[in-house]
Amino acid sequence: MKNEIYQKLPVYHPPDRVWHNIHQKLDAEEKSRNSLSYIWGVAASVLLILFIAVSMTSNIKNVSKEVQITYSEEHIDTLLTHIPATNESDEFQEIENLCKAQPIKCDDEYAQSLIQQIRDLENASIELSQQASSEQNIPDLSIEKHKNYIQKEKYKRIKKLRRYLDE
Amino acid sequence: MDISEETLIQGCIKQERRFQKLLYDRYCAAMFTIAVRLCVHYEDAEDALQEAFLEVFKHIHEFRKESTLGAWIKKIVVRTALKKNKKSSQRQDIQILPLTFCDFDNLIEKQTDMEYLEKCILSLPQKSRQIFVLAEIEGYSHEEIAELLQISVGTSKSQLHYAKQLLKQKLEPILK
Repeated sequence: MKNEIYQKLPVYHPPDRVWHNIHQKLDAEEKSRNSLSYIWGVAASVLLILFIAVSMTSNIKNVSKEVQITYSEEHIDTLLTHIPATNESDEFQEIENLCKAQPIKCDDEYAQSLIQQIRDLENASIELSQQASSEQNIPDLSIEKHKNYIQKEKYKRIKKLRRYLDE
Repeated sequence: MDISEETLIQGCIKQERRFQKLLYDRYCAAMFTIAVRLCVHYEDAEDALQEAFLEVFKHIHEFRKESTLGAWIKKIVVRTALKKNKKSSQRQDIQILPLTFCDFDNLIEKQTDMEYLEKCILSLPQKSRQIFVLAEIEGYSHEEIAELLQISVGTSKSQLHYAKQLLKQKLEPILK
Protein backbone atom coordinates (compact mmCIF):
# COMPACT_ATOMS: atom_id res chain seq x y z
CA MET A 1 0.00 0.00 0.00
CA LYS A 2 1.31 3.44 -0.80
CA ASN A 3 1.02 6.55 1.31
CA GLU A 4 -1.10 8.34 -1.31
CA ILE A 5 -3.95 5.95 -0.57
CA TYR A 6 -4.07 7.21 2.98
CA GLN A 7 -4.47 10.80 1.80
CA LYS A 8 -7.90 9.75 0.51
CA LEU A 9 -9.05 8.42 3.86
CA PRO A 10 -12.00 10.24 5.41
CA VAL A 11 -11.31 13.38 7.44
CA TYR A 12 -13.00 13.91 10.82
CA HIS A 13 -14.31 17.32 11.81
CA PRO A 14 -14.35 18.18 15.50
CA PRO A 15 -17.64 19.37 17.01
CA ASP A 16 -18.06 23.10 17.68
CA ARG A 17 -17.90 22.54 21.44
CA VAL A 18 -14.14 21.88 21.18
CA TRP A 19 -13.43 25.45 20.04
CA HIS A 20 -16.01 26.75 22.50
CA ASN A 21 -14.11 25.04 25.36
CA ILE A 22 -10.75 26.31 24.09
CA HIS A 23 -12.16 29.83 23.85
CA GLN A 24 -13.52 29.66 27.41
CA LYS A 25 -10.22 28.38 28.83
CA LEU A 26 -8.24 31.07 27.02
CA ASP A 27 -10.58 33.74 28.43
CA ALA A 28 -10.22 32.35 31.95
CA GLU A 29 -6.41 32.28 31.66
CA GLU A 30 -6.36 35.86 30.40
CA LYS A 31 -8.52 37.04 33.29
CA SER A 32 -6.37 35.37 35.93
CA ARG A 33 -3.21 36.77 34.29
CA ASN A 34 -4.63 40.31 34.35
CA SER A 35 -5.78 40.12 37.95
CA LEU A 36 -2.39 38.70 38.97
CA SER A 37 -0.57 41.60 37.33
CA TYR A 38 -2.99 44.01 39.03
CA ILE A 39 -2.24 42.49 42.45
CA TRP A 40 1.52 42.62 41.78
CA GLY A 41 1.23 46.23 40.64
CA VAL A 42 -0.63 47.31 43.77
CA ALA A 43 1.76 45.36 46.02
CA ALA A 44 4.79 46.93 44.30
CA SER A 45 3.33 50.43 44.67
CA VAL A 46 2.60 49.91 48.37
CA LEU A 47 6.11 48.55 48.99
CA LEU A 48 7.66 51.44 47.10
CA ILE A 49 5.73 54.00 49.11
CA LEU A 50 6.64 52.28 52.37
CA PHE A 51 10.31 52.09 51.40
CA ILE A 52 10.39 55.76 50.47
CA ALA A 53 8.60 56.80 53.65
CA VAL A 54 10.92 54.76 55.90
CA SER A 55 14.17 55.80 54.21
CA MET A 56 13.07 59.41 54.08
CA THR A 57 12.25 59.52 57.79
CA SER A 58 15.62 58.05 58.76
CA ASN A 59 17.48 60.43 56.41
CA ILE A 60 15.70 63.51 57.74
CA LYS A 61 16.54 62.50 61.31
CA ASN A 62 20.23 62.08 60.45
CA VAL A 63 20.43 65.40 58.66
CA SER A 64 18.78 67.25 61.56
CA LYS A 65 21.35 65.90 64.01
CA GLU A 66 24.33 66.75 61.81
CA VAL A 67 23.20 70.28 61.08
CA GLN A 68 23.49 71.22 64.75
CA ILE A 69 27.24 70.56 64.85
CA THR A 70 28.50 71.05 61.34
CA TYR A 71 27.63 72.44 57.94
CA SER A 72 26.80 70.50 54.87
CA GLU A 73 28.74 70.62 51.64
CA GLU A 74 26.46 68.67 49.40
CA HIS A 75 27.38 68.28 45.82
CA ILE A 76 24.41 67.99 43.51
CA ASP A 77 24.86 65.24 41.00
CA THR A 78 24.22 66.66 37.52
CA LEU A 79 22.81 63.32 36.43
CA LEU A 80 19.82 64.09 38.59
CA THR A 81 18.86 66.96 36.37
CA HIS A 82 18.57 64.73 33.29
CA ILE A 83 14.90 64.08 33.73
CA PRO A 84 13.07 66.92 32.08
CA ALA A 85 10.65 68.87 34.18
CA THR A 86 7.16 68.16 32.92
CA ASN A 87 3.79 69.52 33.51
CA GLU A 88 1.85 66.92 35.51
CA SER A 89 -1.51 68.11 34.32
CA ASP A 90 -0.29 67.56 30.73
CA GLU A 91 0.55 63.93 31.54
CA PHE A 92 -2.90 63.26 32.96
CA GLN A 93 -4.47 65.14 30.07
CA GLU A 94 -2.62 62.85 27.68
CA ILE A 95 -3.84 59.76 29.54
CA GLU A 96 -7.39 61.13 29.45
CA ASN A 97 -7.13 61.71 25.71
CA LEU A 98 -5.81 58.19 25.14
CA CYS A 99 -8.64 56.81 27.24
CA LYS A 100 -11.18 58.77 25.22
CA ALA A 101 -9.77 57.26 22.04
CA GLN A 102 -9.72 53.69 23.49
CA PRO A 103 -12.50 53.68 26.13
CA ILE A 104 -12.93 49.87 26.19
CA LYS A 105 -9.22 49.11 26.50
CA CYS A 106 -8.85 51.86 29.08
CA ASP A 107 -11.54 50.29 31.24
CA ASP A 108 -9.94 46.87 31.43
CA GLU A 109 -8.10 45.65 34.51
CA TYR A 110 -4.61 46.05 33.11
CA ALA A 111 -5.06 49.67 32.04
CA GLN A 112 -6.86 50.53 35.28
CA SER A 113 -4.03 48.95 37.27
CA LEU A 114 -1.46 51.12 35.45
CA ILE A 115 -3.53 54.28 35.96
CA GLN A 116 -3.84 53.47 39.68
CA GLN A 117 -0.07 52.94 39.94
CA ILE A 118 0.60 56.28 38.21
CA ARG A 119 -1.76 58.00 40.66
CA ASP A 120 -0.11 56.28 43.64
CA LEU A 121 3.32 57.39 42.48
CA GLU A 122 2.04 60.91 41.90
CA ASN A 123 0.65 61.01 45.44
CA ALA A 124 3.94 59.70 46.80
CA SER A 125 5.81 62.43 44.96
CA ILE A 126 3.51 65.16 46.35
CA GLU A 127 3.81 63.71 49.85
CA LEU A 128 7.58 63.70 49.57
CA SER A 129 7.69 67.32 48.41
CA GLN A 130 5.41 68.38 51.27
CA GLN A 131 7.52 66.59 53.88
CA ALA A 132 10.72 68.03 52.46
CA SER A 133 9.39 71.58 52.56
CA SER A 134 8.20 71.17 56.15
CA GLU A 135 11.74 70.24 57.31
CA GLN A 136 12.99 73.87 57.59
CA ASN A 137 14.37 73.98 54.06
CA ILE A 138 17.27 71.64 54.78
CA PRO A 139 18.78 70.67 51.44
CA ASP A 140 18.74 66.90 51.14
CA LEU A 141 20.18 65.01 48.20
CA SER A 142 18.40 61.77 49.10
CA ILE A 143 14.98 63.44 48.76
CA GLU A 144 15.92 64.58 45.25
CA LYS A 145 17.04 61.06 44.44
CA HIS A 146 13.78 59.60 45.68
CA LYS A 147 11.77 62.13 43.74
CA ASN A 148 13.67 61.31 40.59
CA TYR A 149 13.19 57.62 41.19
CA ILE A 150 9.44 58.09 41.56
CA GLN A 151 9.37 60.20 38.38
CA LYS A 152 11.24 57.50 36.48
CA GLU A 153 8.83 54.82 37.69
CA LYS A 154 5.90 57.02 36.74
CA TYR A 155 7.25 57.60 33.21
CA LYS A 156 7.75 53.89 32.79
CA ARG A 157 4.12 53.22 33.58
CA ILE A 158 2.86 56.10 31.41
CA LYS A 159 4.96 54.72 28.56
CA LYS A 160 3.55 51.22 29.17
CA LEU A 161 -0.02 52.53 29.21
CA ARG A 162 0.54 54.55 26.06
CA ARG A 163 1.99 51.52 24.29
CA TYR A 164 -0.89 49.34 25.48
CA LEU A 165 -3.57 51.80 24.36
CA ASP A 166 -1.83 52.41 21.02
CA GLU A 167 -1.75 48.68 20.18
CA MET B 1 -9.32 35.51 2.84
CA ASP B 2 -5.92 33.80 2.68
CA ILE B 3 -3.84 34.81 5.67
CA SER B 4 -0.15 33.90 5.66
CA GLU B 5 1.30 31.53 8.24
CA GLU B 6 3.55 34.31 9.56
CA THR B 7 0.58 36.65 10.13
CA LEU B 8 -1.26 33.86 11.93
CA ILE B 9 1.72 33.16 14.18
CA GLN B 10 2.22 36.84 15.04
CA GLY B 11 -1.50 37.25 15.79
CA CYS B 12 -1.45 34.20 18.04
CA ILE B 13 1.66 35.43 19.87
CA LYS B 14 -0.28 38.62 20.65
CA GLN B 15 -3.06 36.35 21.98
CA GLU B 16 -5.57 37.79 19.52
CA ARG B 17 -8.61 35.55 19.55
CA ARG B 18 -9.42 36.17 15.84
CA PHE B 19 -6.07 34.74 14.74
CA GLN B 20 -6.29 31.88 17.23
CA LYS B 21 -9.65 30.92 15.72
CA LEU B 22 -8.23 31.17 12.17
CA LEU B 23 -5.33 28.92 13.12
CA TYR B 24 -7.71 26.46 14.75
CA ASP B 25 -10.00 26.43 11.71
CA ARG B 26 -7.05 25.84 9.40
CA TYR B 27 -5.68 22.82 11.24
CA CYS B 28 -8.50 21.39 13.37
CA ALA B 29 -9.83 18.80 10.91
CA ALA B 30 -6.41 17.33 10.06
CA MET B 31 -5.39 17.26 13.72
CA PHE B 32 -8.69 15.82 14.89
CA THR B 33 -8.38 13.05 12.31
CA ILE B 34 -4.97 12.08 13.72
CA ALA B 35 -6.34 12.23 17.28
CA VAL B 36 -9.33 10.01 16.41
CA ARG B 37 -7.04 7.42 14.85
CA LEU B 38 -4.71 7.40 17.86
CA CYS B 39 -7.27 7.48 20.68
CA VAL B 40 -9.42 4.66 22.00
CA HIS B 41 -12.42 6.88 22.72
CA TYR B 42 -13.88 9.57 20.51
CA GLU B 43 -14.23 11.79 23.62
CA ASP B 44 -10.51 11.37 24.28
CA ALA B 45 -9.79 12.60 20.77
CA GLU B 46 -11.86 15.72 21.48
CA ASP B 47 -10.05 16.29 24.78
CA ALA B 48 -6.67 15.70 23.16
CA LEU B 49 -7.45 18.23 20.41
CA GLN B 50 -8.57 20.78 22.98
CA GLU B 51 -5.50 20.30 25.19
CA ALA B 52 -3.16 20.30 22.20
CA PHE B 53 -4.48 23.60 20.84
CA LEU B 54 -4.28 25.22 24.30
CA GLU B 55 -0.66 24.05 24.39
CA VAL B 56 -0.09 25.44 20.89
CA PHE B 57 -1.45 28.88 21.82
CA LYS B 58 0.57 28.90 25.05
CA HIS B 59 3.88 27.99 23.40
CA ILE B 60 3.54 29.43 19.91
CA HIS B 61 6.24 32.01 20.68
CA GLU B 62 8.64 29.05 21.04
CA PHE B 63 7.97 27.89 17.46
CA ARG B 64 11.41 28.12 15.78
CA LYS B 65 10.29 27.50 12.18
CA GLU B 66 12.56 24.45 11.91
CA SER B 67 9.53 22.66 10.44
CA THR B 68 6.19 23.83 9.07
CA LEU B 69 3.61 25.11 11.55
CA GLY B 70 1.40 22.15 10.66
CA ALA B 71 4.15 19.66 11.47
CA TRP B 72 4.85 21.42 14.79
CA ILE B 73 1.16 21.32 15.74
CA LYS B 74 0.94 17.68 14.64
CA LYS B 75 3.79 16.77 17.00
CA ILE B 76 1.91 18.34 19.91
CA VAL B 77 -1.36 16.64 18.93
CA VAL B 78 0.32 13.21 18.62
CA ARG B 79 2.01 13.55 22.02
CA THR B 80 -1.19 14.77 23.69
CA ALA B 81 -3.30 12.01 22.11
CA LEU B 82 -0.85 9.31 23.18
CA LYS B 83 -0.70 10.73 26.71
CA LYS B 84 -4.49 10.83 26.82
CA ASN B 85 -4.64 7.22 25.65
CA LYS B 86 -2.25 6.11 28.37
CA LYS B 87 -4.40 7.77 31.04
CA SER B 88 -7.54 6.38 29.50
CA SER B 89 -6.30 2.80 29.48
CA GLN B 90 -5.36 3.17 33.16
CA ARG B 91 -8.98 3.94 34.06
CA GLN B 92 -10.15 0.42 34.73
CA ASP B 93 -13.50 1.43 36.14
CA ILE B 94 -14.68 3.09 32.96
CA GLN B 95 -16.15 0.86 30.33
CA ILE B 96 -14.19 1.06 27.14
CA LEU B 97 -16.22 1.40 23.98
CA PRO B 98 -13.81 0.23 21.29
CA LEU B 99 -13.98 1.66 17.84
CA THR B 100 -14.23 -1.78 16.35
CA PHE B 101 -16.34 -2.73 13.42
CA CYS B 102 -16.76 -6.47 13.30
CA ASP B 103 -19.53 -6.74 10.77
CA PHE B 104 -17.30 -6.33 7.75
CA ASP B 105 -19.56 -8.16 5.32
CA ASN B 106 -22.36 -5.68 5.79
CA LEU B 107 -20.02 -2.75 5.68
CA ILE B 108 -18.77 -3.61 2.19
CA GLU B 109 -22.29 -3.19 0.93
CA LYS B 110 -22.89 0.16 2.62
CA GLN B 111 -19.57 2.02 2.68
CA THR B 112 -17.16 3.13 0.02
CA ASP B 113 -13.75 1.45 -0.11
CA MET B 114 -11.93 4.27 1.68
CA GLU B 115 -14.45 4.38 4.48
CA TYR B 116 -14.15 0.63 4.80
CA LEU B 117 -10.35 0.90 4.93
CA GLU B 118 -10.67 3.56 7.63
CA LYS B 119 -12.90 1.32 9.69
CA CYS B 120 -10.47 -1.55 9.28
CA ILE B 121 -7.64 0.66 10.54
CA LEU B 122 -9.73 1.77 13.51
CA SER B 123 -10.57 -1.82 14.30
CA LEU B 124 -6.90 -2.78 14.75
CA PRO B 125 -5.73 -3.44 18.32
CA GLN B 126 -4.76 -0.18 20.07
CA LYS B 127 -0.96 -0.53 20.08
CA SER B 128 -0.59 -1.82 16.54
CA ARG B 129 -3.11 0.76 15.33
CA GLN B 130 -1.06 3.59 16.85
CA ILE B 131 2.11 2.27 15.23
CA PHE B 132 0.37 1.74 11.88
CA VAL B 133 -1.12 5.25 11.92
CA LEU B 134 2.17 6.90 12.89
CA ALA B 135 4.35 4.90 10.49
CA GLU B 136 2.16 4.44 7.44
CA ILE B 137 -0.19 7.41 7.48
CA GLU B 138 1.82 10.09 9.27
CA GLY B 139 5.24 9.03 7.99
CA TYR B 140 7.07 8.72 11.32
CA SER B 141 10.26 6.63 11.41
CA HIS B 142 10.51 3.59 13.70
CA GLU B 143 13.04 5.49 15.84
CA GLU B 144 10.57 8.35 16.33
CA ILE B 145 7.74 5.93 17.14
CA ALA B 146 9.95 4.06 19.61
CA GLU B 147 10.72 7.33 21.39
CA LEU B 148 7.08 8.47 21.41
CA LEU B 149 5.66 5.18 22.66
CA GLN B 150 8.66 4.29 24.80
CA ILE B 151 9.16 0.96 23.11
CA SER B 152 12.08 -0.55 21.23
CA VAL B 153 12.57 -0.09 17.48
CA GLY B 154 12.19 -3.87 17.08
CA THR B 155 8.79 -3.82 18.82
CA SER B 156 7.68 -0.98 16.59
CA LYS B 157 8.67 -2.93 13.48
CA SER B 158 7.05 -6.18 14.59
CA GLN B 159 3.84 -4.39 15.63
CA LEU B 160 3.67 -2.69 12.25
CA HIS B 161 4.11 -6.04 10.54
CA TYR B 162 1.36 -7.49 12.72
CA ALA B 163 -0.95 -4.56 11.94
CA LYS B 164 -0.38 -4.99 8.21
CA GLN B 165 -1.15 -8.72 8.43
CA LEU B 166 -4.39 -8.02 10.29
CA LEU B 167 -5.35 -5.32 7.86
CA LYS B 168 -4.69 -7.61 4.93
CA GLN B 169 -7.01 -10.21 6.44
CA LYS B 170 -9.73 -7.64 7.02
CA LEU B 171 -9.38 -6.24 3.53
CA GLU B 172 -9.46 -9.61 1.83
CA PRO B 173 -13.21 -9.43 1.08
CA ILE B 174 -12.84 -6.28 -1.01
CA LEU B 175 -9.49 -7.26 -2.51
CA LYS B 176 -10.98 -10.41 -4.01
